[in-house]
Amino acid sequence: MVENNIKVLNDLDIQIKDLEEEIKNIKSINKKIKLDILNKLLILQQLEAAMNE
Amino acid sequence: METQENETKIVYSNMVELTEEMKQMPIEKLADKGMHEKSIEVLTKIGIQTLGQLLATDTDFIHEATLRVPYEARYSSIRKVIMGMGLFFNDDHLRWENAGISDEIAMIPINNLDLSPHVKTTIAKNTCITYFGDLLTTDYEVILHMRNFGEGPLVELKNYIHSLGFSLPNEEITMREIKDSFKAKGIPMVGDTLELDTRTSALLYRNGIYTIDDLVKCGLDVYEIIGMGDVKRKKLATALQAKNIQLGAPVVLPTGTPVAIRPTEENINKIREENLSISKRIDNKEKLLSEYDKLVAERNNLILREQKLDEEIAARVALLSSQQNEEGSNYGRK
Repeated sequence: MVENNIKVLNDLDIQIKDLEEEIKNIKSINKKIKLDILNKLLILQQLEAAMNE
Repeated sequence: METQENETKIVYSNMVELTEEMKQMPIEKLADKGMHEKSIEVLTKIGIQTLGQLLATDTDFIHEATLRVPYEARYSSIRKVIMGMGLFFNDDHLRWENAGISDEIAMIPINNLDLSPHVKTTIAKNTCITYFGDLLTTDYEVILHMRNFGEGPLVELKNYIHSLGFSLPNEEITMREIKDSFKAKGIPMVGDTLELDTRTSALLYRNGIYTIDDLVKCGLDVYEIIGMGDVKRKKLATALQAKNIQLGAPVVLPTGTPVAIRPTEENINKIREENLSISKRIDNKEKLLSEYDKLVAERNNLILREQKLDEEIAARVALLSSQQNEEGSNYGRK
């Protein structure tokens, strides 16, 4: 294998691995924010109900 | 036992002086010391009759001779019994002597060393090392790759061995030691200065870039180091921009004499395959990058939405409390 190609392949493999990990992280962060939003919507509903009373 | 700089440490060795009487001890008597009967049988068969003869025998020869007996009767068990008696094979003496370790020090049981229980247990579980001499002649790589043996215990073990005036063969400096030395000197490391995440910092450290000076010296070549993906590249560039640091021009490496090569069909096919696998990876990377960008955009939207909700909640709470206050005062008037 051409030496330069080995470097490129290795580099690409590392970059892909990094990206996969970053995607995993960001997905879990987004999931957490979505849960927070759901909770806050619930709080908002409760506040509205309290105001109507 | 061993003096290092200003502190003397007392460690107890198991070594016993080998007397003439001991040398003449018949091999059968070793059964009383815990030697397996099969071991004695094999040793007698290969012509060893006394303890003195046993200790002078080539250990490789004993090892080979005992390969077909049960595990508890093999060379390692024989050595364990011998060392338990405070004695050792001539081969061990030569090995320790070559490493500059005296017999007395080599015969210190690991349990007698002032190490944490975790370090002692891990060594006992992962290796056959029970004496200091064996530890000092074990390659650093073996110790480094022991299970459940992270940087903390490794640094503890190394520091202790150094405090006794010794070191492990082929020892290397750990990342923690490098960080500690920079900390001790009061030199800020590039990761801290630029407030980089652990992975990007670790990549720089692995490539010998420890300080901002190193980074500036490296120049734009830093973006070309293996493992510097788009994410890390972006993070580093943003951090540098935030600190208003500009990297110099890339260092141009001298190129060798050009050589003309006539490619064969085989070579051409090989290169085609390589290029194909490279382009597949590039495609995969592009897909991942666009997914990453989408997720980042989604996260930003979510954060905005959450902020709006926070504001809305705060406004409602304020409104509700003012309503309640108003009702309270009206009730008072009535």
